[in-house]
Formats: sequence, structure tokens, C-alpha cells
Amino acid sequence: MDDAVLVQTIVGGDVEAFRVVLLRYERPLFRFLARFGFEAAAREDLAQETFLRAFRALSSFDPARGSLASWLFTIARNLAADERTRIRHRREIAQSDSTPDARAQVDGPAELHERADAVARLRRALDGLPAALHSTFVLAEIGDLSLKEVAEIEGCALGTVKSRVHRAREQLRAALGAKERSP
Amino acid sequence: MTCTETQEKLTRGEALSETERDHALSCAECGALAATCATLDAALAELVPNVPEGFADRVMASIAREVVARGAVHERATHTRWYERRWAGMLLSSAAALVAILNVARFVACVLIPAGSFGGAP
Repeated sequence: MDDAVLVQTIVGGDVEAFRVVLLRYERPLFRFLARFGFEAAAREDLAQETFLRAFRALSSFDPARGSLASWLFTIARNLAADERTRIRHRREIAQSDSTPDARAQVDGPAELHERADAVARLRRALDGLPAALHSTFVLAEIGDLSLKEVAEIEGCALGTVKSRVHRAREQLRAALGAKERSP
Repeated sequence: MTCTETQEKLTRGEALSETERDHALSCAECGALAATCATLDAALAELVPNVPEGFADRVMASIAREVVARGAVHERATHTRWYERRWAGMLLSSAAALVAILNVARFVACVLIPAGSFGGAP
């Protein structure tokens, strides 16, 4: 079912049809939140809040102004950015070395250890990106949104998205490369 | 094709052509960059979490609770007595404020302003 028709159905009173929206977007949303750097519990809270807010505001969604995906991810991006700021202020940002995902693989074979180390370094590098580069890069990287949709969500030009993604990749690559070259 | 072009493509995460791949294999600098980019892409691919079991059900349950609560509020709003309505409350508080102002004005006129000022005997 087309997103616009789906929204009309839900707004018309078929609440259960919202499950289709949930199933359609839960995976990309979790992927987005994971790449944003959130732990499992925070990911679920933010994903749930995103869907609840979307449901409450569904009648204000206008398909002429953009896709349901970009509308939904705008909500998620704003929630995620606020949460990231809050976490930073509390100085409780999860250090990649102590994340469960990284820890789980540390005791494995050398290859797994290397991969876990790369993921940990990537998380640190992602966390070190400036806010604008960070969210643009993460939105572009989840693969479910076109760069045009990312531009809509970020409220900037397509060219800006491309250059931000390029700069972010360069910084991340430099962060990973720096460690690889070091003894 | 130059090293710069190959490196630009690698940095942008774009796929290399066969010639560019061959070049990256023979050029130490491009090869190192290709390896780092591959590490970056592999690390990004690792950050793919599973959706928690029953997530959709939990969200739908929250939505159902919200819809029920919203329905109850609507029900209450349509079955309230006239004095419980918002406009009635505003009307009553405005009337109370008006009475208070009139009382203060009466007090000022009768007690605080000396009778002399109205031309009466002191």
C-alpha cells in the first residue's frame, strides 16, 4: 500500500493500519539510531517515541511536501539530536570500548577482535563528528533514504548533503586510517 | 585516470571501475586508501542492530492505550455540565474580576477620597 493511502487509512480511523508503517520503517529506524551511537535501550526508547509522535501528528502529514520516510526520519533525527546533546551534557556518552556490542566480540578470534576494534574506533570517530556532519552522514548511510530526502530532513541543499557526506567519510576514514598506521 | 580521481571515488564510497581497481592494487597510496575505506564500510555494516522482539506490538499497545484515553477525554468533554465548560469558567471568572474592580472603585470613592475634594464641608 502506498504511504499516502496508508496515512489516509490511519487518519480515517483504522489505527491497526499503523502497524504497516511500523513494520515498514522499524528496521531502517533502528539502523539509523544505532549509527547515531545509541545503546540498545536508548534505541528502543527513541524508536518508540518516534513512532508515537508520528502517530499523534499523522493528520498533519502532507504527502505533497515530502515522503512519509523523510517526515518520520525528521522526527527521529530531532529526537536523536536532542538526546545526543543531553547525553553529551551529562558526560555519559557510551565509550565504544565498553559497549556490549564491542565487548561481545573481544574474546573471539583475531579477525573478530580486529573487526570489533574497527567498530569501536568507528563509533568514537562518529561521535567526534560535528552535529551537522554526523546526522547528515548517518541519514545518508542507512541506505533507505535518497540524498534528496536527506536534504529535506536536514533542511539544506542537495549539494550540502553531498559535501557533508564526503567530509564525514573523509574524517572517519582518517580516524580509522590513523589508528591502522600507528604501531 | 589519476590517483586523485581514484581517491576521490574511494572517499565518496563509490564503486571503482575495473581499471581503477587494477590501479588501486598496483599503487601503494591508493591501495592503502582502498583498504581504509573497506575497513570503514565493513565497520559501518557491523552497526546493524536487530529490531527487539515484540517492538511493534509494544508500540501498538501504547497507541491503543492513547486512543482509549483520548476517547475518554472526548467523551468527558461532550458530557460535561454547562458550568464545567471552558467558556463558562471564563465568564464566571470575568464576572468575579469585574465585581472586585467595582468594589475597589467604590472603596476608593467612599473612604480614601476626602469628602472635601467633592466640594463638601470639611
